[in-house]
Amino acid sequence: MTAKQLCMAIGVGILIQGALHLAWGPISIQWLNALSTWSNPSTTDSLVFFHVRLPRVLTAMAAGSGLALSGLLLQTWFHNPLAGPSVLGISAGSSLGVAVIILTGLTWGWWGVTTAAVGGGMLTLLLILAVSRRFHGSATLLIFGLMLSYVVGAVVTVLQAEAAQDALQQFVFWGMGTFGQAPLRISGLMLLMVAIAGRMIFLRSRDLDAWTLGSITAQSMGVDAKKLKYSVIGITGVLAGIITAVCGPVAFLGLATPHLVRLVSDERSHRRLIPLTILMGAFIALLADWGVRAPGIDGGGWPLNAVLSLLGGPMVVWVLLRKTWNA
Amino acid sequence: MERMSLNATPFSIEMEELVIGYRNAPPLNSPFSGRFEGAGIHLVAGRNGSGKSTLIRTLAGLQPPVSGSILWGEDDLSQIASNERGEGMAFMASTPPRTSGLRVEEVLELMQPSLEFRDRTLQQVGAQEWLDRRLSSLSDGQAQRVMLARALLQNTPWIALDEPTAFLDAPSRTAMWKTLLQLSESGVGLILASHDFRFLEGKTALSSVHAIASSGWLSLDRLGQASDWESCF
Repeated sequence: MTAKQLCMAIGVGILIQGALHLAWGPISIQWLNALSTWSNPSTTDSLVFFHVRLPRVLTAMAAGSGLALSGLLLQTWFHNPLAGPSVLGISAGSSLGVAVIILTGLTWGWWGVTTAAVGGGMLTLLLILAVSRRFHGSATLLIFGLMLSYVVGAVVTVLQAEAAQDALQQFVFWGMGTFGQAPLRISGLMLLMVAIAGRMIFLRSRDLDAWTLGSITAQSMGVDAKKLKYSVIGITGVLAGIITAVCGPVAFLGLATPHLVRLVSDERSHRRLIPLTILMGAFIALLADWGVRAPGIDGGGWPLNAVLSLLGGPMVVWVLLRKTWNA
Repeated sequence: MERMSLNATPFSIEMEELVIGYRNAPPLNSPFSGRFEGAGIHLVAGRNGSGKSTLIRTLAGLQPPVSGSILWGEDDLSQIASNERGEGMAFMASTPPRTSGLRVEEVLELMQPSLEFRDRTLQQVGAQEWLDRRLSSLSDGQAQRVMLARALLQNTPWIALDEPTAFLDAPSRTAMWKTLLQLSESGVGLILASHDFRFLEGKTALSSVHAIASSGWLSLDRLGQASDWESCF
């Protein structure tokens, strides 16, 4: 299958899943009814459609795509197949930002939480970039990310111990991860940002391909390492930060999705990997959300991170065994 | 798309009071000055740890000097933008990339060569049969040849090579040296750091021989013997 056909196939899978997610739920709704009142959603049908199901589908797609793209960029930049926003501690950094806002009782609203999450993620990423120069070998980087997560986790735990009851509860639920919390305009905004980020980095496909030949070789080919680095930091930090703020620290999507793409496709050039990864991320996120929605009712099923870990953990082990990074 | 530099003769490269090394580490040498000029092979020899690789990367503009400066022709290298730098000098690392999943064809396509130029170059390095292979599926020797082809397709007046034969077996080494000698006769300037230079002894394509010795920068008799060069380190 060519890359184009595969993109189409995944696209169709996204559309089918999206339609099913919109149609299925504990409350059956009339689509026509819901859509006809889109400008003034007041009936039950349109409230369920526009305030619950559509934002949830869009959020899942944006989060899946954004994290998958971040994972791909980090794996390429660090020449490390096991890099990803959660592995390197970027999600943990964002969590700390969110924890500071929620647990200390600051009521800064959505923008405050998001800014803190983006700031925390970006700071973590800058820290990793600063020290990664001294690391040789891929294991060191991952262990550093792990240690960073532990330290940040410890700070969060201290904050939790000191927090008020209702703030704590809010934070714990947020930590389980969900696609079901964002209002429609936020989910639409997230999707738009992922599209812009994808377009921006797609234009640097050649630089990213050259980067796989080694950072020194890439620079000898005229790649501006600083520009590429800031593109990767900017995109990864902003996407992972916003997604973490809205959906919680979502596990595995960033790390596992690029490998899933490498598993089903022979393509390794970023011109193909970027669109494939973005689409695959949306597809997997929608798939995982069945595990969250199906066992219970809207917003009350299994925690997203439990579902993703049950899916993602074995998959990463499988990837390691199959060595798709090299093959 | 072939660049204008196709027929350009190699510009002169001048090192002025150059100190090389890394931040937060002691410098590798006391300041030295020197010059590389004209086509052919310019050999930089020296003991392990003397700074050959660092010098090669510094000369190619891939790492800043600790102090002093490098001139490419009239221009200060530190002032040249990265894309223009890539038009002046190509670079080949001592180890081929081991994790790139790109196919050989895709690697070469990064340089946007004409099909004719690409195929001619592949023939030159003996890599014409691997177009569909993944870089990571090739042996080190094969991958190194592909990386040489890539550097050639950059179509620059200079190519810097850091230990081009370091990880190759005996037949691949001989093949690599033969290719490099052929290349040097086509008007390209090659600066290369190597321990494995006995093959170059007495070759007319050898334009200059230098050593980074404990006493400083030495320019040696290019027609001398490899054993004499080694004794100067």
